[in-house]
Amino acid sequence: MKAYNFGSGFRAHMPKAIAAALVLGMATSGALAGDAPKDGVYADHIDWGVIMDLSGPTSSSQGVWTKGLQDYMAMLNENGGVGGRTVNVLAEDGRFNAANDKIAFDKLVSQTPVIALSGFGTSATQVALASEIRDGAVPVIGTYTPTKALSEPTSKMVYNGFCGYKQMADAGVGYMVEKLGLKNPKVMTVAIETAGGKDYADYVAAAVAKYGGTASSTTMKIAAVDVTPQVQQILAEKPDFITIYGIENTAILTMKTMQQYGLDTPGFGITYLGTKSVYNALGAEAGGNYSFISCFTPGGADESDGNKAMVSFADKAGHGDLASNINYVAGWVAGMTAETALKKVDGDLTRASLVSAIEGGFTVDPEGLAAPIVYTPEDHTGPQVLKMFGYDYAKETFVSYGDYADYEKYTK
Amino acid sequence: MTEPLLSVDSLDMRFGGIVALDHISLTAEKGAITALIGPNGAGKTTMFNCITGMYRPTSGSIRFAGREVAGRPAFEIARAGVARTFQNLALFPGLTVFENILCGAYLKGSSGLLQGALRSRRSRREEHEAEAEAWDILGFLGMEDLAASKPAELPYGQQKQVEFGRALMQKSQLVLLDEPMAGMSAGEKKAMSDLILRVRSDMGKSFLIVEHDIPVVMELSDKIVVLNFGRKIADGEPEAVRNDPKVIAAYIGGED
Amino acid sequence: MFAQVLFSGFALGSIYGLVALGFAVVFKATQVFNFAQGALAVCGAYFAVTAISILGLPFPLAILAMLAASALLGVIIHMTLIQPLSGRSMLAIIMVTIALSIVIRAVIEIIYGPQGRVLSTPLPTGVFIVGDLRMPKLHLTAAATSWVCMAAFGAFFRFTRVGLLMRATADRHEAAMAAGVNVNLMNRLAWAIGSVLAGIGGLFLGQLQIVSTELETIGLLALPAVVIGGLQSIPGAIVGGLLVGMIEQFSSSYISPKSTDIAIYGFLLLILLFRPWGLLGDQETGRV
Repeated sequence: MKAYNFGSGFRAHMPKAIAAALVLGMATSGALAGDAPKDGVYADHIDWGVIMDLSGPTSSSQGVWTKGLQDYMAMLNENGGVGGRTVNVLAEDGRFNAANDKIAFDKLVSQTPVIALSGFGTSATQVALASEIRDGAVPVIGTYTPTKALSEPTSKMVYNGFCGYKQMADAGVGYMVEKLGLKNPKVMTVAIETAGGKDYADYVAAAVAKYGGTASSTTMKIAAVDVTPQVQQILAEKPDFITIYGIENTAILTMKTMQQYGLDTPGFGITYLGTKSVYNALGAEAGGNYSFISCFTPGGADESDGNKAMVSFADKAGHGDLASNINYVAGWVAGMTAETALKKVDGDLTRASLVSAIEGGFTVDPEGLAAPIVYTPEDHTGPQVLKMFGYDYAKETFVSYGDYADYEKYTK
Repeated sequence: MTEPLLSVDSLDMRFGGIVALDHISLTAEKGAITALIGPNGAGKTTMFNCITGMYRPTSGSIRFAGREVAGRPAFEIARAGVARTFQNLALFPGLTVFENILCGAYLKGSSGLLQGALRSRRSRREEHEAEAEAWDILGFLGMEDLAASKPAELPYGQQKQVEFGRALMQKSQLVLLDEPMAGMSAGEKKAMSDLILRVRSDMGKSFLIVEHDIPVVMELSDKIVVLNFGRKIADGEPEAVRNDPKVIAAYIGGED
Repeated sequence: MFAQVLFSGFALGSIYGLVALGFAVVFKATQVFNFAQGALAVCGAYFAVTAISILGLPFPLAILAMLAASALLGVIIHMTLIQPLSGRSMLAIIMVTIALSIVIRAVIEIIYGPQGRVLSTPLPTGVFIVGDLRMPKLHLTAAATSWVCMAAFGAFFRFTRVGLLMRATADRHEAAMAAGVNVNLMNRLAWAIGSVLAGIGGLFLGQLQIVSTELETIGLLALPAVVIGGLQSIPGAIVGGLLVGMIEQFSSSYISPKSTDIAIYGFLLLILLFRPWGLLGDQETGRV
């Protein structure tokens, strides 16, 4: 009886209830439309988005990068944030799958809106979302993986945050050719089967051609567990040196299998592959033949202000073991880039005002963690000066070979 | 009076709503050949499966050599001294005749397993003894020449003998034979009857036999138990059973 | 180049043969098409990492611990998953093994993290160079150990009573039961052996490469290996493993690394079309 009464009473009042809900809904959406939160800007904080692989095969590097960015923002917030607001990082997990990235992207554009995005570690995602990002309203500041599709031609919506593959290829090949005193060098690229891998192999081939040499390449799956055939190819072709594009596991596999077959061909990896875990896995013998090219200086490798500040904050945050990881440094510098970009805005902070404030270019000073990063209206390449690093097994620290200035000639 | 070697008491076996065995009691005396007969579907093989532990009876008791065995796992009942053959032959097709028979010599417990795997001295001695015994049984069956053959290469009658040989290898007190004469020629049946009698006299084993050939059963058995539709309708010496009106009715009604 | 490829095909194929042998033992005994065989190889590799790198046990002790853990894992899988499902459809049991492999993978990633690990052992490294042919000592050790294991288990099945009873049980369960064989114990033993063989394969794969859950894909090469060799055939599993290793290395060196899956599974299709019982299988019972 009671239930029935309640039911009829509710039904009688339904039109009023609907009307009330509608009014409430309109009021809310009106507030959303008229106020800043649409762009992720609130009275006390700013939401900044990150889309990276926090699980899956690439998470060992991309997860660390994300921690670097989050830690930098935490330090920034401790020091007062940006214009009285703290910066809150919303990190979405892409799980090495462009479909997940697309869902995360839509979410951060409209559902839980953010002022700007960083990351995009999966190159396939960048290719898939390139036109949507370039024609959209949310700027991408500090990409982890630069791809041609997203960054060429230069767009006011995209600012690369990582050493470019072209610069890695140019600086790495240039340094190796000079160090080994090679004429007509024979170089082989060992890459995983991704869009970025193909780009990189092309850049290496172009760089090698400048020295009158020949380049070839071989590929493996990202989940490769056996690279014997690839090493057989190295055995057969006998290159002067190899260059590796991939994830830590594939780099370790390549150098380790070469060692098993008694090959001591030197090799250098792309920036992402300059981690302690790679060197520890290889051991002193295979690791002695391995170096990596990077636009970022790992924590502890020198005594610059930026380096010291980063190492001490990482220690405080319980991430002391990550500070020497190049990915952490890259995330940290992406945080610096985000801060610099946000501080360029005078007056109301919106996506549109951010885009127009940085359109004319800006310069990030990484305080020694990298060479100064200069964005001009025509050039959003990001960090352009790289140098080679190795590892000192006795001291358990990275060793830098020369200064960034010595390498400028290779990338010009 | 001593307890019979096998005594089944008030055994019920139901599959869902179907009553396969309805309160059956029977005994098999030591040294005797007991036959279990009845029309198709009477429950004879079901009874075998209950006694040997292939089925877990719904209720009732099965005592063997003074021990309750109803519901025990098949391998335990086999080790307690009950061997059997199957209506449709259950040989190991991938093994030779010799190996088929050797399989009757089971391992003693899991320590036997470990010792067998590690080939300890004791297990190797046991292996030699078992192999010698398997040869004896092959000789007893007159099948030494066929030791290395695969069962499928032999005529049906000899395959039955191999299965019989495996049962002998088990050193059991009671051997259950499920239609040992099925599909045999008159000559083969005679040979099988002689073999059963020879095993009883030479090795002192007891038998429980399911068989359709009534004249052979009458000649061979000391006692006959008759089942029909899961019920026992007669139990006694061959002569008495042969003249039992219920048995005659069951056979006339049961066989088309 | 030919000799070099032949060598690595032989070395890797020997390991695949070992893992495939484990698969075949389990299949023969319990008719379970074990999709978790690759995951069992991964477990072996992680048991070795745990014993050697984490617990720091001396190498011989670590190997014993790893073998015991692998055997125990096989027994537990049989007791908790396979035995209770006996008599159910093959599809149901296949789904259980697939689920098991996914669970194993996830548990390992939770415990050890997604990052691959390096397994370092005192086994000889370095390389024998004969002319142009380079033979890494690790590959030689792996191949030799695989063949010793395969020969040892072959002898075990052929010449011991336990081996005989295992073959008998695999042939015909109810006959074995009636003959006093503890069929569950035999099947459990088969799972222990299958898991140990996979584990040894995983130990070597992990050492030649990196210990990561991706090793599962290599372990799963046991499946095409046994189908090619003949599902019911123990020598077939070994030959199948060897062939898969050869096909993989030759196609990848002479065609392209991307072609290996096509070559392996293309060959599998040919076998299924023209000789569905496998190269050494039994035409009557071994049809896939």
